Amino acid sequence: MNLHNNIDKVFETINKMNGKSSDIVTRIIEKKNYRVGYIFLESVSSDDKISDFLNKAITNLDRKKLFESLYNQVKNSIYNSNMKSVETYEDLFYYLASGFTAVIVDDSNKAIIIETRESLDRGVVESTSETIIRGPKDSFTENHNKNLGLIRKRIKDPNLWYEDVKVGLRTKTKVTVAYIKDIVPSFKIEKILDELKKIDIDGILDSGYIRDLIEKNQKSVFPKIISTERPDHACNSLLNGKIVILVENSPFVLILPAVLSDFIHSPEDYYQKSFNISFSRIIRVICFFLALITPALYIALMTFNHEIIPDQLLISLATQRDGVPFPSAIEVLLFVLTFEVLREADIHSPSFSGSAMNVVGALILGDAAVAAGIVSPIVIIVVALTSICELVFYDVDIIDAVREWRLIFILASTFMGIVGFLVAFIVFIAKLSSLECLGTPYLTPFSPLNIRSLKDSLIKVSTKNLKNRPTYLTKNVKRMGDRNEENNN
Amino acid sequence: MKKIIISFGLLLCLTGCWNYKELNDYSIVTGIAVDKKDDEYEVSALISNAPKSSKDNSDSSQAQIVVYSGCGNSLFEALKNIGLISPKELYIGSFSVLVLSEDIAKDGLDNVIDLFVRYTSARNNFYVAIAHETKAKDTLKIVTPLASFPSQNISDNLKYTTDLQGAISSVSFNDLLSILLRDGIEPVISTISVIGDPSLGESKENLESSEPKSYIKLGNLALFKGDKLVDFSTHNESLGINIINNKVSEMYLTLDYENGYVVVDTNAFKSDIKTSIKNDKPIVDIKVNGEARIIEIKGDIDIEDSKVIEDLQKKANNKIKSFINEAINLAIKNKSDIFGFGLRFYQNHPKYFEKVKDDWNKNLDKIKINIDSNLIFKTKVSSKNSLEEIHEQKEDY
Repeated sequence: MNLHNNIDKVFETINKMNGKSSDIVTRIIEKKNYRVGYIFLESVSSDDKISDFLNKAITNLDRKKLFESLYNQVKNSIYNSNMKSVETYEDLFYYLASGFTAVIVDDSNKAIIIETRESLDRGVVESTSETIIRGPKDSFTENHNKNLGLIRKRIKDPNLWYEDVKVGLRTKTKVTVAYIKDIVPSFKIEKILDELKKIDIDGILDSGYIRDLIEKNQKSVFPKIISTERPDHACNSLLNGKIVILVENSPFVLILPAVLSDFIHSPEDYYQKSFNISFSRIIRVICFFLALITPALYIALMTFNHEIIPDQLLISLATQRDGVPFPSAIEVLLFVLTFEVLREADIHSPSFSGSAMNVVGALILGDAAVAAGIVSPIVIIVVALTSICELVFYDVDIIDAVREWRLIFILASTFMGIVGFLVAFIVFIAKLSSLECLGTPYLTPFSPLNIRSLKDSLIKVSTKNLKNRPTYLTKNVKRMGDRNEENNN
Repeated sequence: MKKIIISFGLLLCLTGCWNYKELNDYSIVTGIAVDKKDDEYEVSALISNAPKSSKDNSDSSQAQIVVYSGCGNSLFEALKNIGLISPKELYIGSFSVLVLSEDIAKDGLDNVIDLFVRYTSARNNFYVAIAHETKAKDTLKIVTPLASFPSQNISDNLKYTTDLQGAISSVSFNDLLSILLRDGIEPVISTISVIGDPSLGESKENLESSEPKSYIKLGNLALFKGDKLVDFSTHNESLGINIINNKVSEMYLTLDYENGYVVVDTNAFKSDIKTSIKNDKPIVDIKVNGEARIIEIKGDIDIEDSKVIEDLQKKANNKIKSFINEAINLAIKNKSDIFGFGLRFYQNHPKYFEKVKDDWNKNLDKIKINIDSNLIFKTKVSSKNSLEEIHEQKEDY
């Protein structure tokens, strides 16, 4: 709907649209021969800025060309804020809700909007979900502009492009797709923008919504999009030829496409010695498999394939299990479940009850359960090992995925022992191989084998030898040595 | 997709938990002994996972053990009869030692071994030992403070002393089987015996005393012909057998020299056997190589003198040759080719062996055997001469 050309009517319409919400402020300033009206939402706007610009802007306007002179006045006197003219109520309200102040005059179907946004967020603080020992400590915040800035200040290349899409019928959330123009193939950008534009939902409150909505076409518990809080991680991904999606009001940005080996990497990997990092990564891979299969393997060995267990261990296991009333599978499931409950409770409990949780978890569930003869000590070890192993991953999505597959493994080996375990493993590998994101198979660079990209996958060669970007992401692979070549020529 | 998941789930249910068995539903057998009682087999099973009584929780290092015996006309019947006593199913999948009494061994191994070849869940890497001058059952009962259960004691002893003592060699079931199934080689099996009163060895006191009243000792080798026990070797003969069979890596030799003696410890010991045929007569060349170092000296022996070393070296090599000769004489006496000379002829000269195969064991004495021993002394020792000598020199001042 277009704006009316009368201040009173505009005010009336806005109030009607919004049901006279208490945070709408409408005011008319009477001058000698003209009136100036202004509207803002006091909940999202800063009073200081409003009075400041009004003082400057609305004196000595030309009565005959009221709107044009107002526009010029504002343009010339207020230089530190965004300003724009809008013509419809929908646009007007979007800007009002974003913290703009609208200035209107009679006899014009346009309104001038000036940014008077109140900063409604915390500052840039240390990341809480992805802690590292060495490296930049800042993290993304809920403020969209700050987030964009955190990336821009790291990559000063004009080829770093931001493209905005407004998603959400009611929330009208700004979603920015960031990429480096000459690295990322354009078809990927088009595909993502297409997907984003197709989203038809009333509200987007966090980047998690976007991730789910654009990942929908393939069902899998394994994450194909990384979400991170760390600007350095996002920038590293951008430089490697990935695409970053920033969502307004969300401190977590999305990085895509992700492959499985990305989840055994940590942003910190690039700040430490490569040899040590290779070691850490191998440990993480071992942990990945341990977390996945330990309970299942335990059940298979304990209930079907005793002959695999060495003699000494066999006796020890048998004596430990003596007197436990439940089958091994129930025992393991019981304790896996208990640990999941503990974890769930830990996430949602305020920090002051944490120590109580520790006592309950460690003492009562561990020690007492063994003493009471509900579980055998080895099961506690198995579950503890599994749980510790899954905690080496910084990404919560991969932990969840491992958790779910672990259950499948447990069920398969409960019914069929080692055979079932192997069947489940084949299904697992088949499933992983079938996944892809933006045309990148999930198991790259291992399958399909990409030898050049193996340099930074399971192991990491030293940074000076890491001369190329992953070839599965981009054709513009050279990331080191260009300048030297130019000089030589 | 849904259909696949559902059918997969149903398939899982159809398995009916094939072969499902909890570990603690078993009585785990870690050692088996076979004796002869009247005309029946008496099979004893050492069960090592008996639950501990609550009082004993403090010493968790020792597992509670039980030995059950059952009799029967066949081994399997005897085993099943143990099942009548044991509250849980016997698990014979991973026992570590099979002890056979002399009677059983004299009757022939084939009858006993057959069961374990056919029994699918049994692993084939357990050790086989002959109980010498004692009931096989008793060897499983002797508890020792140094091992969790008797069978572990026996199997560990066999496993680790084989490398350290020249006269001992262990035989696993797999080795035994492959020897029994081949022509031209006969088995030797190590013996174990109980020292002290066996009835004292099974009590808890034996565990708690610092000098156990009863214990198990590894003995010399038992010689077989075909599958039947024929003789036991002496210490020297055992050494000879093991040297020829290349089963010695470390051994000691005591060499008398003038009025004292020198003890040498050997390592990198290796024997090499070559077979050939000359004028239709079989020839075997045994070549022994090794290094030795002096570890003990008594008496006035100047080992800095290269002539003395040469003398000692000669003595050592003669001693090794005499061990080998003794072993060969024992084999000839018993008409049993325990060294597998026949097998080597079969491998290298199959046509020749085919001709003489039937009378091979009888004609062992007709083989010309050349023995060459080449033990080299490494005189890198910390003290060159014996302490005694040094003391004497001091007194002279």
